[in-house]
Amino acid sequence: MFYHNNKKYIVYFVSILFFIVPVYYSKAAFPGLLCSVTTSVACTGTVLLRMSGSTNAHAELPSQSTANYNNNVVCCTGLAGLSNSCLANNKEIFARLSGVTNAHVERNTESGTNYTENACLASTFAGDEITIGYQTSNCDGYDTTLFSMGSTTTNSQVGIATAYNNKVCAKVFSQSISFNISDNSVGFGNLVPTGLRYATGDGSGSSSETESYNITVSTNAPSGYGLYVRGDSLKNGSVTIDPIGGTNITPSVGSKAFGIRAIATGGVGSAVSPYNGTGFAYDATSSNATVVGTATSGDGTTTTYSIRTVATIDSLLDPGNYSTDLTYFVTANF
Amino acid sequence: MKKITSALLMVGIVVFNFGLFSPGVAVAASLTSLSDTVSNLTTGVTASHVIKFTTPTGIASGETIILTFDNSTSTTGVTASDVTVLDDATPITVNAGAPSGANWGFSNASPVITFTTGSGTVASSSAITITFNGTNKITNGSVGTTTLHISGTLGNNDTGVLSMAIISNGVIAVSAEVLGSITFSVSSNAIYFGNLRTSGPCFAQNTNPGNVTCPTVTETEAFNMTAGTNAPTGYSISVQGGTLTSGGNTIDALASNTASSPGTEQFGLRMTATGGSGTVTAPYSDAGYAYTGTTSTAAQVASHTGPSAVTTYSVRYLANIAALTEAGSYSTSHTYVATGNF
Repeated sequence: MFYHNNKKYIVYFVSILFFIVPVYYSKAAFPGLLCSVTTSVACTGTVLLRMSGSTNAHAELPSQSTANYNNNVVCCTGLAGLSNSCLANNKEIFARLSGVTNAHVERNTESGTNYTENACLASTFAGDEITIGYQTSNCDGYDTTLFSMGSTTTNSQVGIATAYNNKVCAKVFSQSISFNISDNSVGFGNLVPTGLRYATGDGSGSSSETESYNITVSTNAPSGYGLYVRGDSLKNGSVTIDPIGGTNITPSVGSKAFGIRAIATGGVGSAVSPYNGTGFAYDATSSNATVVGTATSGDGTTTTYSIRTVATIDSLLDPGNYSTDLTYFVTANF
Repeated sequence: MKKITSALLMVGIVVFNFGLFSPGVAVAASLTSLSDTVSNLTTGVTASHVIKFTTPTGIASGETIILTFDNSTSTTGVTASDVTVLDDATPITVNAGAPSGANWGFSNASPVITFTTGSGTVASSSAITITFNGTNKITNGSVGTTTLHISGTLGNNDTGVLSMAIISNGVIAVSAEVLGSITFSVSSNAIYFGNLRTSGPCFAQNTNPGNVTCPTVTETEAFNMTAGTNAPTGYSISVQGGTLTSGGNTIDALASNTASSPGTEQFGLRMTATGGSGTVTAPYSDAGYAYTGTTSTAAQVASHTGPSAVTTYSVRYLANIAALTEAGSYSTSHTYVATGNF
C-alpha cells in the first residue's frame, strides 16, 4: 500500500513537473518589486490581493474590505507608480477570480467562464515591463513571489508564498535611460595657423587640450546603447575647415583641421574608434551620424564622456566667423 | 485498474508535452531587440525615428502593429508616405488607410500610429524596421523619458516597450573666428649705390660701401619684401617716393620698362617674385627697369587677387648717370605699402 501510494505520488510529481512551463526571460533583472503577505494595517505599499488566511484560503480583490481578509494581504513596494488597477494601460493580470470576494483563483492563461474578476499588477510608468509567471518551488528569475496556489491552474485556493508549491511570481523591469550634455555652446576663439586651438565652454578657446563639454549616459537597457554625433565641420558660408576624417591623428599646425576625441569614465560605456585615441578625428556630416561611444550592456551606472574639440587653420583660410551645430543622441537597445 | 490509470496519465503527459495537445491558450510574447534611433532628442523639435524590433512569433496577415508614444510626443501630420518598413531586408510598401494586397495599411491618430499588415506574413524571428524620415516628422515630447509601446494583434498580441531620453537641448553650437591677416616685411631700410659712374651701370646694395665708385656693377638684390594674406581678394604692394634727388637736381626716372643704358640718366627698379601666389606688376616685372612713383603718387609694384601664402619679392635698383649729371649727393626715400583687400 505504501509502495503504491509512493508510486502514485511520484507519478503526480512528475506530472506536475512536466505540466509546468517555466517562463524564462533574457533581460537582466534589476530587482525593485518586493511583495509579501502582511496585514492591511501594516502594509505601506500597494495591496494586490486579499486572502482569507495564510493557507487553504479564498481570495478577494483589493477593492474589497471584508474584515477577515485584513490579516493576509499581498502587499508590494519598491516601485514608483505601482498600482493594482486593471484599468491602467500598463498592467498584467496575475490571477483571475471567481468573484470579487470569497473566490477561488486561476492563472491568467486560463479562461474559465466563472473567473471574470481580474487581479492586476500595474504601473503608471509606461516603461515598466511587467511579467507574471507561474513556477513550482520558487520564483527564481523573478523579482518576488506574490502568493501561492493550491492547484496548478484553476479552481485553486490560495495561501502565502510558502503555503503551496505553485508560486505566482512577478517581476517589473523598469526601463531607465538618462542623457545629459554639460554645455550647449562652446568656442575656439580666434583660430590661428601657428598652433592648435581647443574649444572651451566660455567660447574663448585654449591653446592646450581641455574638455570642451561632457556627455553623461546611463541606461539599464539590456543591450546597452550607442552615443552618436551628427553635424558638419566648422563652416563659414561655403568655406569649410576640413574635418579630420575617420583616422585618429594629431592635426598638423598650419593645416585646416577639425576634430573631436572622447574619454569615457565610469559605468560600462567606452569611447569607440576613431574617437578613443590620443589624437582627434571627425567623420560625421550633417546627414550622417557617427558613433562616439557605446555600451554593450546596461547596468544603470553613468558613463561620462569628456569631449575635447580641436581646430587649426592654414594661413590662407578666409577670415570670418566659423560655426557648426553638433547633434548628439543616444539610442538604447532594449 | 490503477495500472491502467497510471498508463493513461503517462500517455497524457507525453501527448501534452510534445505538442500533440494544445490547451488553446496563446500567451503574448515580448518583442525583442527593441530600439528607436531618434535623430535629435531635443524637446519639441521634429526628428526622424528608426524603430527596430524582432518578432518572436511572426506576424500574420491582417494583424495590427500599434505604436503608442507618450510624454506629449506628437505624430500629427505624419503620413504613410513618410514611412518605410523593412521585414528584415525586404521593403514593405505602406499605403494610407486599409491594407491593400501585400501593402500594409497606415493610420495616424497622434500619438498612436497603427499599421495593419497586408496579405503577406512576417516570419517568426524577423527583424522589423520602421523608419519615419519623410517630409513630416514626429515631434518630440517634453523633457524626460518618452516611451514607445508596441502592441496590437501581431503574433499573440505580442508587446514591447522602449524608452528614450528627451532633453532640453541635444545640440552643441561650436564657434570659431578667423581673423583677417596680412604679413609684410622689408629686409633692409637703407640701400646704397656708392659713387655713380658713366661708364657702366650701378646697382644698389644693402651695405654702405663708403666712398667707393659703384661697388655693385651687376644686377643684384637690393632688398626683398615678403607679403602674404588670407584676404579673400588678395593684396597689393605699392611704392611711393621720388627719384634720386640732390637739392634741385634729379636723376631721370624711367617711365617705362627700359634696359640699362650707361652714360644716360636712368633710375629704376625691377622685381622678381618667388613663392606664394603674388606676382610683380608691369612695368616692374620685365627684364628692364622702370620707376613711375612720385613723392605724391604711389605706383603698384605687386599684387594678388586672392589669399596667398608668403611671396618674396626681390627688388633690384638701377642708377646710371650722364657725363653732365650735376655732382652732388643724391638720395630718396621710397615707402612701400602692402594693402589687404578684405
